[in-house]
Amino acid sequence: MTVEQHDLQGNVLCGYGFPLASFACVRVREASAGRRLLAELRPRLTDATSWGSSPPPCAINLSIGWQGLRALGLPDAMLEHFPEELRAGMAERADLLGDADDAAPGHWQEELEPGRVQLVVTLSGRDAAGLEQARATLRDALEQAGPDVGLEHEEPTAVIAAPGEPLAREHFGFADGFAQPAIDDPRAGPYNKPGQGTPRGERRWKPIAPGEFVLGYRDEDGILPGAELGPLGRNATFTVLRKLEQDVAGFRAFLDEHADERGPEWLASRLMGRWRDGTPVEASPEAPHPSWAGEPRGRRLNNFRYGGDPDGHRCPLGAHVRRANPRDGLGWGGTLTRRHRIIRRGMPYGSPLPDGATDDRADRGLMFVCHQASIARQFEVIQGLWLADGDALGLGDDTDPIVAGPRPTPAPGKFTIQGREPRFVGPLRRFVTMRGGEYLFTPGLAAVQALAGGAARA
Amino acid sequence: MARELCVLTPILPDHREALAAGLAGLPEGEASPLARVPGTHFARWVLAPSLRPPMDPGRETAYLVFAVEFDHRNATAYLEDLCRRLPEEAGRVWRHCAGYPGAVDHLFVSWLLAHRVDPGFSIVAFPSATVAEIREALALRARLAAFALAAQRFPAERLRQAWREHVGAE
Repeated sequence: MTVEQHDLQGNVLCGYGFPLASFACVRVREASAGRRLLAELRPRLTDATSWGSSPPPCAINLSIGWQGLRALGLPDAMLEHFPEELRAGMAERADLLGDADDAAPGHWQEELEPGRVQLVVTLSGRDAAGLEQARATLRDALEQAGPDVGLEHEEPTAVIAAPGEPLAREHFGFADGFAQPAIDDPRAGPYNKPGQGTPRGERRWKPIAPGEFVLGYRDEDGILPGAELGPLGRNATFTVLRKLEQDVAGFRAFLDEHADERGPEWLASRLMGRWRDGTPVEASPEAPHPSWAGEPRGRRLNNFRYGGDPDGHRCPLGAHVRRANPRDGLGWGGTLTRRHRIIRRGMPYGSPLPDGATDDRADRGLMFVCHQASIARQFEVIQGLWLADGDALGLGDDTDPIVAGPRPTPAPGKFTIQGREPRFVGPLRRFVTMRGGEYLFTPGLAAVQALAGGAARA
Repeated sequence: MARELCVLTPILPDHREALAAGLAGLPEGEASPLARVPGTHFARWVLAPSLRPPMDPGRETAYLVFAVEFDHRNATAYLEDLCRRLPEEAGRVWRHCAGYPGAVDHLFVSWLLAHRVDPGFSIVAFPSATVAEIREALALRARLAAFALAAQRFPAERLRQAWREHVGAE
């Protein structure tokens, strides 16, 4: 069965690829005004229908947090069917997610603090004029809805495009955003390339069932996720939004401090599991491949497995991309990982720190966004059990060296580079600090209409 | 060698919410009252909202499930230890169950054992090691990691000397 593209919101299964986006946090002070806003927004939201070769100037999408669903006046009988993690909110899951010390909810940015985020309207632009058009559309919808809804905060983001480089980068300087799950739906997106599904047999890959990401379709176990939500869940997804501040100067200093004779770039590649241009360390341990990154859509950058490297002698067991998507690296083929995949739609914010520049203390990082059918089974397993803890990978207390801070244990946080002569790197520091966000529900367009009309009250 | 115990006690009518609130208010992890019983690998109280009692399968009843893996020589020894170390908390939890004897004492232990069920299958992370041995192994790993981080770039003679000192301190 193919996903109903006309009802699914855009940028879920298939990314827009726009260079600009802004995350607008909208506050609902009165339920009827909130529903009026949804009614105004509904015809202006962007669905997942293919654009072909002519993209529109902008796109607008809507996600709703638990506090937003309550503010819209959903009855308790409906609210109680939402999953526990959405009802609890992301701040309540901080211990599991490793959001501790400076990243703990008590330190979050005021506008994104626990329980604050209600509605998130994602404005995407083909260019600056397109983004401004999306902003004007939201402003107009807010005006029509009246004074009891308001724009509270905006988080603007922009892709970092390196001159002459085929792939966009994140702030630490690594190519990013080109590794997404392959979906078992011919209309879902352009990601069905070798290495992006689940390992099958010796060389093949199986695309992932749409139900792993969109409610109302069979998942990898043949179950229909979101059935308890009824029509409200049809073509919906659950979305994680996290503002992650990146300490670029600190990361560069760490590389310089801990590099051996192989140099800081070699160390950076071990920590990430990819060279800066995206070449996977597992497939090319000694140096970036000269041509892979330049191929259309980096089609060979994901065609690799870890099953032949169980001891991490090619790619360290604790490298970031190996932890985040272990492929067949946990044994049993891909059986242990196929139900823990996410679609990432993050965008960098803040201006890049130029190479060689001293620390300017500027706020920069990633607005991390991911979509899945179950936040608890997908994002929280990856973040909580694979990145913020090492037990599942046989790494004890070793956490992800890039995105997770060290655990509060007596032992110094370290990163192990396995090999005939293993190398230990540490003590680790926190280079990525959570600044706030929320777990969100991204409904299908018919469900938005129902919420707007108060039909969910029936 | 870790042993296991699973106890199912029926919850009194109208007590389910009070019990759920009481359980939700208990601290978890190292701060849990159950952590005060040395030799506890893993212990949990779980509220099962509707099970069918074997004696009366037509009737659904809410049960409190208590499942634990421990190092004690048998279940009686474990429960007697539990009574000594968390009498107040145990009473506050199990008083919501039908047949609670009224005090956390030897009758209470007998009452729990009478409600014991065979779990059939249980998973213990380290079945052949005691909790004390596991904790010591973790501490040893932490000390070794600290040594490896500090000493990995030492020249051979200095590394040998540092290792001797480290082992000597162990």
